Amino acid sequence: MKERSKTGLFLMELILMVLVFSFSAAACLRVFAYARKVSDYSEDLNEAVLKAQSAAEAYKAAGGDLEKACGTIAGSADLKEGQYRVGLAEDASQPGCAAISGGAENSAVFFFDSRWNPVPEAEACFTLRLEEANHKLSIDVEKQAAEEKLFTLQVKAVDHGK
Amino acid sequence: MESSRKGPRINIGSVSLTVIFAVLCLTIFAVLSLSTANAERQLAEKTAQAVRNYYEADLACAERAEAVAKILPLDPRQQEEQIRQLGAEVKEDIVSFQEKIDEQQALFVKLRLEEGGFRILAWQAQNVGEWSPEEGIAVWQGN
Repeated sequence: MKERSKTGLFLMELILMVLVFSFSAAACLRVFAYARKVSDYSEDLNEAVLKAQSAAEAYKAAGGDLEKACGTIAGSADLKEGQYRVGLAEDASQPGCAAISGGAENSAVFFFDSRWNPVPEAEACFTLRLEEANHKLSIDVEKQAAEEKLFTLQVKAVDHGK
Repeated sequence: MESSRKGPRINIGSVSLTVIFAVLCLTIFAVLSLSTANAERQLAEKTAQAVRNYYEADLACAERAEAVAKILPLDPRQQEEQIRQLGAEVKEDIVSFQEKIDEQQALFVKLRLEEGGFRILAWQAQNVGEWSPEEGIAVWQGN
């Protein structure tokens, strides 16, 4: 009788602890998943800021010439044809610039995968969109699937008045 | 008979101790990873805000410089007056102005007016925050 009671107590403890462990593990897993989500967002935001900043500096260094700026961005990232799309009002003669393909005038789009490597449009997870209007460049970094704007900048190249 | 009088009891044995330890570890690691992720997010958002503030000031300065360039064809007296209206200082052929980036920094711009345009002499972020130097070192005097 005493033996049976001991076994029963042990079994009860085991069942109770399994329950406690599964509840706390479920709660902790949710916290881990949320932390991962927040961490991924921070990483994406950091990359988006870097991409936008380098595009802004390329545009300023090119003196407000979007075509030249796109050439610089494409050249520095070693982009291949199809990994970005440029729509220019004037002739896109800059070496490294892809042909105009469905892009709005004076705009360019660069495509990146989830690890921020340049990829063709179909595989894109993030886009760097440059749109020029009134000598002002709007830079948007977006997450494709969520259509969520990660970072936005506006920049203007200084006109020396000459 | 005796055990039924005392009611059901739960045994606290090695299983319980192991589970308590595992749950404690899990909770600590979960809280640590959450706090690290939150700190990372705060830093990333701060960086993004700093970059946004800088480029807003940069845009405002570029627009002001462009406005200066538009004034250049006017005669010198009108030129000086209009440049002052833009909130810029004029000293001989040097035009300077600043745009606030945040509480601690401002973007300083210095332009030299030349025939038909201007040359940028300075375009830099500078510290404008107050600096309060430490007066003494808090060390134990032996009293």
